Amino acid sequence: MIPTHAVAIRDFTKRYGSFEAVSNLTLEVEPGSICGLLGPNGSGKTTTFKCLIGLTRPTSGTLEVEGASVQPETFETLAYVPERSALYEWLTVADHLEFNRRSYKTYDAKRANELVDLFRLERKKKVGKLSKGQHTAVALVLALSIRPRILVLDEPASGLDPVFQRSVLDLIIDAAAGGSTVLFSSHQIGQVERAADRVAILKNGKLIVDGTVDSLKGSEKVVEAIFDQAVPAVNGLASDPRVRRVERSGRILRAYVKEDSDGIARRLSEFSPKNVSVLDLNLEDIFINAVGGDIPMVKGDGA
Amino acid sequence: MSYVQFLRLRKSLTIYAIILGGLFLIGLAVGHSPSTIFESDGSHTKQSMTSLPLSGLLFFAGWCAIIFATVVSTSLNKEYDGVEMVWTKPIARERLAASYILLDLAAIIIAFLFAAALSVLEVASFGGLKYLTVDSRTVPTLVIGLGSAIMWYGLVQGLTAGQRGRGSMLIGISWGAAFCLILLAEVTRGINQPIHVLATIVNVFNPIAYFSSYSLSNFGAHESPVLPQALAGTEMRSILTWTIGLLGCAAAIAGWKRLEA
Repeated sequence: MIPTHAVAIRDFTKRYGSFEAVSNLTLEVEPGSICGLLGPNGSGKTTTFKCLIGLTRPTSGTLEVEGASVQPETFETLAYVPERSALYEWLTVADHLEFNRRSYKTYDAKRANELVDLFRLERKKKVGKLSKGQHTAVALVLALSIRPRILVLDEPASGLDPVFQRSVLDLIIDAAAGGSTVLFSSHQIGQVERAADRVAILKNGKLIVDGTVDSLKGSEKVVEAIFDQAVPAVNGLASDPRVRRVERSGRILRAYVKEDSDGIARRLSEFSPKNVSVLDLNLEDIFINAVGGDIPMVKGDGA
Repeated sequence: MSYVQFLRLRKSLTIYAIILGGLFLIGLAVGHSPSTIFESDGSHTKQSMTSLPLSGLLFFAGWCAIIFATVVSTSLNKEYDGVEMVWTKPIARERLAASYILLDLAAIIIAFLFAAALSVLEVASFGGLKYLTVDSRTVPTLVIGLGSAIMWYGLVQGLTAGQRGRGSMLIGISWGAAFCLILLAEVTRGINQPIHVLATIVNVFNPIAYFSSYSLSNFGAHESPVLPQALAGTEMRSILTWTIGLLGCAAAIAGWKRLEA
């Protein structure tokens, strides 16, 4: 039977002593999709990945890849790139490729060589002499050279320059286009917005946002009014049931509106602003709104 | 799958061979100096010699193997730094740990045989091969010497495989503790019996205590003076060194499997 979800995390909790790193997390990733996991440092992203691939044990809940908990043979089709380098400093890039060749039936030498060239890595150079970004590049080469069905990437563009960050993003999108499922975390919200179909945001180990990028972006509008002078008092705007939050910054007023954004724009127009516009939310707005305060979970369509 | 450990051991064995090779060359230079040279017919050596027991050479090889064994005894512990790399390969952790241990044990045996072969070669280079005799201590020295190396390896591996780091520190401590315990058991013998007995009991887990009866206090004795009497005989020591070593390896595999990243 073909499993419905490539990755299924259900009621997952991980505690270290009295500290709850992840709390009751449920997250499902469909085959062939790209899911971006966002969250501030210490929000539980790496812990979730480690439990998913069996590096550490969950306190409770289930974590499944293609319908089963991770077994050694799962790694024939699952590749993981950790946040910190786990490469052998005393081995060369070529030694690492050889290690992969000996470890996987699915190893594709041609693909590995293409990726080595793409990242301009020197095969005979010891990993200990590579930069942080090149460490990440080697880890990505190793992961992608087995043509995995599932890719779990913890900060895959960490330390890379903008050109290589773009390459990584393209590789992620390519992998998904080829049928792979990608679950990745990043602090680069722009990357996630460009690549991911779906976004989950963690805060203090709890899932606070989960949905498709489009549905989350469409869930709210920003009505932005720019005034010539200081922002006037707009009585009752913050308590308007259509408005979730109001921000004032110098001569700019921004209202995050759940519904009837045109109505709110008309209301602001009464105060004679220089300009009023209705904007779509971007992922950065969603992220900052989500982690910036104690905000209840926003559920997008398809979540 | 244990390719990295193969490369690591190849590197360790190369360094080991270079060091022993250096000692071999020094031995050749010193041995062929005018005061110590053997005549080719053996009749006019400046050092009088009637026989050279093979157990003596194996004793040297045993110590070399023990030193090598402790150097490689934290192979699983060392992997903790790159655990995301090795634990995400399509192989069960216990199988991977077992393959590491088997490779290590093979390398220890190679280290022992290499040192023994080099010793024999050194003797041969002096023209002393004709004096080399297989004595009654040869087999016990081989079995206990190699057993002590494997015991030490197993104990350190067993204690460190389930730990995060600190493997090198434990190797250092084990050497210090091993010699201190031997010394304690030796100096208290016949002077302070309760402490001597206590030291001999603790020495059950001291690999040198099994090997030392051929060296420190009573070379060639049947019974080790630094172990409890019931365990001091040659046969018992042979069995115990190998058993404790292999049990340590089994504990290492179990500890490695339980470890979390």
